[in-house]
Amino acid sequence: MDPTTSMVVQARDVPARRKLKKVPFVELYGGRLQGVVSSGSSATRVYVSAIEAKSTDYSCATNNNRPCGGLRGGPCKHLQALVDNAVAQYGAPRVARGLQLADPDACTSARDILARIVGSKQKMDASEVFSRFLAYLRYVELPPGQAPLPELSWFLTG
Amino acid sequence: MSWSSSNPDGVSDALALVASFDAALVSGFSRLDPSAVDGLTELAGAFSGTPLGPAVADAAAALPRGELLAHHFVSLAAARASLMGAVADALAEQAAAGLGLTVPECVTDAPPPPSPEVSAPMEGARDWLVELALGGFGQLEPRAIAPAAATVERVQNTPGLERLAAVLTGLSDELMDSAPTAMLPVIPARRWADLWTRCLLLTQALPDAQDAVEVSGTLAVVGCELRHHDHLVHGVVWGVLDGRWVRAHVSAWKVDAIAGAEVWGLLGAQAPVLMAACLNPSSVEVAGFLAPSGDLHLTSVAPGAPLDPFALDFPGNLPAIPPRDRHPVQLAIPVAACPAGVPRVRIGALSGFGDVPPAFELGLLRWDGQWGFQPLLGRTSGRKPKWVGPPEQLAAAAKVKAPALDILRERASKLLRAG
Repeated sequence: MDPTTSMVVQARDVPARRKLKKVPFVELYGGRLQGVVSSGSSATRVYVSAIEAKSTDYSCATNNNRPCGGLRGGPCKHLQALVDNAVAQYGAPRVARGLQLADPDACTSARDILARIVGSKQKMDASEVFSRFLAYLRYVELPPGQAPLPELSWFLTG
Repeated sequence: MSWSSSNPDGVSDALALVASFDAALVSGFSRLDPSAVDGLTELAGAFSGTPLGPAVADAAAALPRGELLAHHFVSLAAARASLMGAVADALAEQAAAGLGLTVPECVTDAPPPPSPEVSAPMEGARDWLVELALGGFGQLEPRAIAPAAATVERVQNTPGLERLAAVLTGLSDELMDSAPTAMLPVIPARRWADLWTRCLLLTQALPDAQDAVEVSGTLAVVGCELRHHDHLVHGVVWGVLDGRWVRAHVSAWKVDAIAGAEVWGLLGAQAPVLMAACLNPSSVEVAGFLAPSGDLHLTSVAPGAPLDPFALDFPGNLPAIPPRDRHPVQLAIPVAACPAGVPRVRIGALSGFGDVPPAFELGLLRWDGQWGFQPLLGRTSGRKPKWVGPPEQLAAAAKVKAPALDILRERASKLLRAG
C-alpha cells in the first residue's frame, strides 16, 4: 500500500512491555524525551528525567527538584532507564526521531541512542513533567462508552 | 476479471482532486505555491453549479490572497468530504453488484444546534485545525503541537463530543509522534487530510440525529473488530439481528502502556457478556435501540446459545452508512469467506491473525486504494477445529497478571504523597 495515499494507520511494531514499576511514565513531548523514573533505593522517591531534542542537553531531579547526584559528566542511571524504556515503548528509530538525532533509522537500540547523548547537564522544572504524568493518568478516568465512533475506522490497527 | 480488480469510473478523477487539496494541506496554506493555487481552482471548477459551488469558489479565490479565514477551510473540507462520499458511493455500488447484494438507504435528521458549553470547545478545536492547515503537515514542529493538548483535553471532557474527542485525540497523538514531520520519510497525506477534514466538520455541527427504534431478540454474534490509538480502544461487535447487519460498540480510554492482550481486557471489563460471546462464538439475547445505520445501543444483554458463525445466513444487503459519514474508509462489507483475487489486509498483531491464514476465515471487505479482506474470525481445519483471532486474544487477556493500570496508579499515589 502506498503510504502517501493509504487511509489506515501504518502498522507499528508492537511495543515490548516496559518496566512500569521502574519507569511509570515516558513520553516524547514538546521537543523532549521525558519521564518519571522510580528511585532504586527508596520506594517513595522518584526522579523526573528529561533529554532535550537536538542539543541532547539532559536533566534529572527528584520530584522535590533536588538535582540527581548521579549526573557527573554524563547521563545518570535514571536517564539510562528512561532511554531503555522509551525504546521498549516506542522503538529506537522513533525515539531517535523525537530527539532529532541524525539518521534516526540507523539507531537500533537504547545503547545507540545513549551514545549520541552528548549535551550537558541542565536544570529543569520537574513539576511540568509531573503534571503531564497526571494528565496521562486522567485518560483512564474518562468514562467508557457504547456510542458508535465511525472515525475510529481510520484507526483499524487490530 | 473479477469485479474487484479495478476502480469504478470517476474514482481516480475524484481522488486526483482530493490529492491536489491534500498537497496544499501538506505544504501549508500560509505559503501556497502556484501549483497548489491551480489545484484549488480546479477543485472549485469541479463544484461549479453544485450547492457547494459558490463557497468553494470563494475559498479558492480568498486563500491565495491571504484571507486565511476559518470558514474558507470549512468550505474546502466540505468539498473534500463530498468527493470522498461520491467515491464511497461508487465503490459500494461496485461491491453490491459484484457480490449480488443491495445498498440500503440510511435516513438521518439534521442535528440539534450545540449548546454554548459544547460549541466553545468545538471552536477551540476548529482554531487548532486552521493553524495546522496554515503551517502545513509537512513542517510540523513538536513545540507547535504541544499547546494543542489543552484544546484536546477540553473536547474530551465535554459530553456530546465523544466522536470529535476520539478522532481529535488520535490525530494529535499521531502528529505529536511524527513531529518534526520534516524528518519523516513519507507524509501520510491522504490519511492526515482525511482526519483533518473529519475533525473540522465535526467542529461545525454535531453528528446527524437518527431515529432509533426499540428492538429485542437474539443477536447472532459474528465477530469483533478492534480499532485503537494510544489513548482509546474501540471494539465493534458485528452481528445479525432480525435478518440485518447490526453493530454494537464498546470503547474505553486508555494509556499507551496498556498494550497487547490487555487492550482486549478493557473491552471485556466494559461488556462482559458481549465479549464472552466473542470468546466462545455464541448468540446473545439483547434489548436496546437500533439506529438506521445499524448501530445498536444495548440496554440489556444476556448470554445465549453457542453458535457457528460460519453456518450463519448472511443478510443480503450492505451495512448502511449515514449520509454525512460516507467515505471509502467506512465501507465494511461482511463476507463469509475471502473472495478470490482479493488480498488480505494487513491487520496488526492485536487481533491475533498471524501471517499464515487459518483454513477458514470470515471477515469484512474494505477498500484502501483497492479492495482487501480483513479477517474477523478464523477457524483451523482438522478434527478438533480451534477458533483463531479475537477469541485467542480474549482468552489471553483474562490471564493478564499485574495490570499496567494498577502499577501506574500505585506509582502516582506515591509521587503525590512524596511531593
